[in-house]
Parts: sequence; C-alpha cells; structure tokens
Amino acid sequence: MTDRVGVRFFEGQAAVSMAVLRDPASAPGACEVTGDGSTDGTRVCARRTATTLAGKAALLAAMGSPCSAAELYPYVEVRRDHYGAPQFVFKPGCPLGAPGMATMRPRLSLSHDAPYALACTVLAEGSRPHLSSGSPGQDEGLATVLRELLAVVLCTGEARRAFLDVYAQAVRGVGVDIVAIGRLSTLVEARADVLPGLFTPAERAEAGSAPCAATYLAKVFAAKEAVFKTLQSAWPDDSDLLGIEVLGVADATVQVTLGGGMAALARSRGVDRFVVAVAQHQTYGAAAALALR
Amino acid sequence: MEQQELTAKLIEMIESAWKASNVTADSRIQEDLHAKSLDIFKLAMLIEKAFGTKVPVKQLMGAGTVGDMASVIVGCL
Repeated sequence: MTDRVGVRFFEGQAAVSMAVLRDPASAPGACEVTGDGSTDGTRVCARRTATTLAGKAALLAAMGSPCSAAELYPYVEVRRDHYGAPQFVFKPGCPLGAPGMATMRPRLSLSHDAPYALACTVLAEGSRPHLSSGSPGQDEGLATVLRELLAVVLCTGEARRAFLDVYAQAVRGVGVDIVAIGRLSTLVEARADVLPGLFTPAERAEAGSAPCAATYLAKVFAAKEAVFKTLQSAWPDDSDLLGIEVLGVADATVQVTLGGGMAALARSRGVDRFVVAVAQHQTYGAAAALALR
Repeated sequence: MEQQELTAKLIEMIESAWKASNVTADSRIQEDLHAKSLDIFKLAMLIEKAFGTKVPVKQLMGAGTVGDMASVIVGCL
C-alpha cells in the first residue's frame, strides 16, 4: 500500500491536506477486518477501509505529525452520516486531545476508485476570524493550493509545506473525487445518448474540442462530484448532475455554476462560491473543491 | 410490470452498463458491484429511457441491493 500525502498550512494554524492510498486490498471482493480502530472495529468492505485510512493519513499530515500513525489511528474513527458524508470522531485518550480537535473543526471528504483512495481534510482553528469577502486573488490562491496538492499526492509523493494569507474559516465544506477515465470512455464510445443527461451542452462542447473527450469528461465529472460533496447532502429530488456546471477544466481556471435545487442547497449551506482544481494521474481524473462563503 | 420481470430487466441493464457479471437481486450496489455515483447517474438515464419514468437519483443511491433498486423503480412507475 502506497501512502502519498500533501499538506498546506494557513498561517501555520489551519491546514488543508490530501492523502492518496494505492491499495491492493481494494480489489473486487476483498474485505478485511482490523482491530486497531481504523475501521471502527467492524467488518467493512475494502473500499471503506481504504478511504478510512486515507482520511486518517490526511488528518495526520494536517496536524503536522505531532504523533505517529500508530499513536493516532486507534483513537480516531471515520463515521458516515445518513447522507454518507464522512466526519472524524475522536475517542477519549486521543493524543491530539479531543477538545482541541473539536475547535479545529476538521472537515473531511473521501473518494475511491480502485485501486486509489483519496482523502482531503481542512482544519481550522475556531477562534480565528472569517474571511471577510472573496477576492479573485484569494480564490486563485486556494485553487493553486488544491492543484498543487492534487499534483503532490497523485504524482510526486512528496509532502510540502507553505503558508498562505487566507483563513480557513471561510471553508464551509471540502470535497474530493477520483474517477477512472475508462468509466467515461465506455459512455462516450457506447452510450453517447446518455451524455446529455450527465453533462450540460457547454460542458459537452468543451469536451468536444479537447484532445480526448473521455479524459476531459472524467475531470468534469470528478469536479461536479467534488463540488456536490462540499455540500454534505443527499442529491436534491429536483436536481441532478446538470444542476452543477463545470467549465474551464482545460485551462485550469475552473468555473462552477449551480442551478435549480443545487443552487438552493448551496444557499442553505451558506455557500456563495467554490474553488476547484482538477488533475489527471495516468488513467484517472481527480478533483478537489472547497465551498466558501 | 411485475417486480420480478422488472428486476430481471434491471439486472440485464446493470450487467451491460457496468460491465458486471453474475448480478443477482441480492448483489450489493457498492460492496459487490463497486458502483460509483457516475454509474448510478448513468443507470438513472438508462432507466428513464427503458421504463419511461424518471427515478430520483437520491432514491437509487439509497438502494443497498439490486432488489432494493428494483423496488424503488416499481414505486416510481
């Protein structure tokens, strides 16, 4: 199992981090049981095990590694709410201190497409001020961070640290997604008739002028899914993938537009904008998104 | 359409759309078939074309097994 982790610190106190695991145990049908708390002590599918461990690796990186994985992991659980949105739960005796972690308000997003499990965390110290307003400069800075983190965890495997002049309190949610390009290739080649139900006309037009439509659409889909995950909700009844339009994937200036029920959902979450970064690793498309207010 | 007939048709669609084999009504969507949300969205499109009804993605995503998914579709017909 390969661990790759990247982390960026905001003013040295808040952090966004990503981790990716390449997990051979996630082959179809593989299951495992662990008694060290990494899977809540229950029998779960390998997919859940892999994403849980990726989440913990991202958390450990975001904390600046004040303790080892062996010391931390048994005291941290990754639980899913009824929407499937993951969150950290800290057990008594956690070496990081459960009260301290509560004020850091760790946010977590997970994704999996065998053999990769991808996790992103954002830690923010509760007492710090909110980002007062979004500016293009700040959003571009965040997008750059996400893009670099994606590159780090997917491609280089080296941890990097830096400081940013923005506060993480503006982050209302975090989302990541990874998808095999092959899943889109079969659609483009064999079931192009369903593409209008998944991608907007503008998205399909951009894909049409890309060197490889399936690769482009894999990135777009990962970005849509990442954006949706930031909202930590079930899909609204009156909304679908067309309610999230992602443009500009080719030139890395990703623009997100929400419509209908999805826009209402974002408003209800206090979200007024997103920053999104996309990356490609071999035959996988990946995206990370932050929902901001 | 009877649920049994619909389940058989759904299994056929899943095997074709998700490149899966030996799918049964008891097959678990995530654990056994390793479906991602993209697969669910794709299936929703195919269901709409095949059965002429739109099934909310949220309900399809909440289905644990192929049989549960068939029940969701029956409820929408």
